[in-house]
Amino acid sequence: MNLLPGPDDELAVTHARPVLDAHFGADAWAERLRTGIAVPDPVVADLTAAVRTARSAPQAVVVALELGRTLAPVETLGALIVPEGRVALAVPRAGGGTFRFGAEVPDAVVVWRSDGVGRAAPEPGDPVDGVDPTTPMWRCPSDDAVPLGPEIALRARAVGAGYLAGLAHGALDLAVGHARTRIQFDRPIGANQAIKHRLADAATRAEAARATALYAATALAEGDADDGFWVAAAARVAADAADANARAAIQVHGGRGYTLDCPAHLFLGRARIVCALLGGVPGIRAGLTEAAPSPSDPDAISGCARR
Amino acid sequence: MDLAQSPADRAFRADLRAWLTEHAPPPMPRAVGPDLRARDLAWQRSLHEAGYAGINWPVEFGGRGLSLARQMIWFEETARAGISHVNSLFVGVSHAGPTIITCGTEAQKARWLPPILRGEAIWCQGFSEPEAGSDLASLQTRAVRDGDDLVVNGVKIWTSFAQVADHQEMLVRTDPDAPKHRGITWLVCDMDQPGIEIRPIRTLVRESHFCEVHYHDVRVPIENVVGEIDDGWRVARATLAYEHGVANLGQQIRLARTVERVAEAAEARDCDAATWARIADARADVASLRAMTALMISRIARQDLPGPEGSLVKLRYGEVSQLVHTLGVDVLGSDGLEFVPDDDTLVHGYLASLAATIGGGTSEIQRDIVAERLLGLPR
Repeated sequence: MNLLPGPDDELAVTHARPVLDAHFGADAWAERLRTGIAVPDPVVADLTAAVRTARSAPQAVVVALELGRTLAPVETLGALIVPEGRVALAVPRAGGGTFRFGAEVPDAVVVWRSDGVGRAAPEPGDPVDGVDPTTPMWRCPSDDAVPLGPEIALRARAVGAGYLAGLAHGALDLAVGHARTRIQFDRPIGANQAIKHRLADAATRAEAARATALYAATALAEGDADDGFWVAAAARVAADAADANARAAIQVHGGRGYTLDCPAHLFLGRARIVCALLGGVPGIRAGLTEAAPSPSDPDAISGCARR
Repeated sequence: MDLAQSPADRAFRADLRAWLTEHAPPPMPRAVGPDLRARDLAWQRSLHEAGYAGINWPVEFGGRGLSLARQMIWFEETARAGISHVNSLFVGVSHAGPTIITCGTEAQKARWLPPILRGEAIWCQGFSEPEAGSDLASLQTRAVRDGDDLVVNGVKIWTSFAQVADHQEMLVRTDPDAPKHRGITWLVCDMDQPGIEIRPIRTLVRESHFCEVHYHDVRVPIENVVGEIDDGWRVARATLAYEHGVANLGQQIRLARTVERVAEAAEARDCDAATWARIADARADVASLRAMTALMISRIARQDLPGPEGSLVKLRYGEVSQLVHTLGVDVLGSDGLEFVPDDDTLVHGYLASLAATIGGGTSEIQRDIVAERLLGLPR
């Protein structure tokens, strides 16, 4: 048993690294928030091309973790589901139609439904001011889509869980950096147990989310009998971790955390979007109940875990 | 990355499972006394005869020297067979023995190690004191040299199974003038001698293995000191590393079983959607513990020593354990008001789960460790 990603698992991360380092570091985000300049299209295209090199489920989830951690555009996840050009992601709205995330004119659209993912032809949409100001969002009239099948649906959910787990890590890193350097009462605020313990809890959530996402990815790759359960569990744990850690990051930044200039809110908005793609917390829970314990293979580790 | 086990791992699991079906010990008696001692020693002898004794011990000291992955299989299968690891053998097998292997002399190893594996001796631990809990190094139990003996006076607390133990691994203060981490000595105190008074402690689960142990002029031969006099903190760190190491790998299996028992109870009681939502969350949380354990084992296999990441698993386990057991008694409703003194009931589990964020280093201490050693926040 080994849950540490090896060089092969990190293939797409290796390809994406130069773009991520150049355009998605902390300084790049600070500058972007200050100037209001969006991530340039060619940068998204380059990143998408690098991400698309992921083939196996572990390669896809491991790069999704890194995309979440660095706040890479949500639409880059589309390249891990339908590997064709710029792929926008959409979620059905209660009143019909969808909210779509990504390029104004994508090459394809993946619609995330409660019963799986489907592929739709791009249609023109109306721009919407979204919960995350850095994710382009469109209101589209139709939610028609051709189902992509259960295997791709499971991979999509695992990738979503990986991105959320990455967000949980990124939010933790941001908060820890601030807690180390922000001086109040003549010492770093991170010297106080109130801050330390909040961040220790955030670290625990981030670790739980990462570990479960890696476990789910490996279960998928090995065709484990309980892979559906592991993916659902990874989504549930990561959705909680991403939301709670984004909140912790905002809180630890104090008044600055409430401003649009501080990147902490980006983790919150991204978490809302990707959690919604996964069906929201109720949808994720429903998936967990459906995929609950099957004592199928008593010798399999996961089967053993839940008998 | 892989979850797969080698064919040899699978064979180990299959053999162990078959053996456990035949040889699982009887349930532990409630009362800590001669019956419990006899039961635990018989279980250890049975393990020894089958070649399953000391799975974590090096082969040269009679152990199996199993890899962590194999040890995890061991803990999973024994948990699956319903065998509790909280028994009177734990101290000897899991940390006193390994400490002596690491820090003891050849004579000490020859004297103390074989009886542990052969099921002939029970060990207990005398580390904590009423005034030295989280701040263990502030311990005050005194040991004064008198000829070839150390004379011990003081009080130890939370000593599990002191009533049935033969030996105690013990920390005493030998130099009261040195800084608190120096001047401590690690020694082995025989429990069957004058001046030792054992007072059982009642806990939330009523009768308990916890004791307070008082020492009045107890004589311990110098040859029972492991490591050097005044250098016991170094030895104690080894003991604590073994104690907190991987001995609780199986606990997430027990928790996974508990969640499914809660689900059965909810089914029988026709519980509402909100309860089922909590059950769904609990299943995910327990799954995350398994994944964290697997990730921790993967890291140790690469680095060869446990890091502060262990605190992440312990923190999460404490939280999830309490969440699962609270859910259990919520599902039981008024049936959850009756205390049944049986480890297997949800009510007992609920009360016992309150210890999960206290024992073996409180969650507050774990958070300090994570914040300072893992996140690099200032002390």
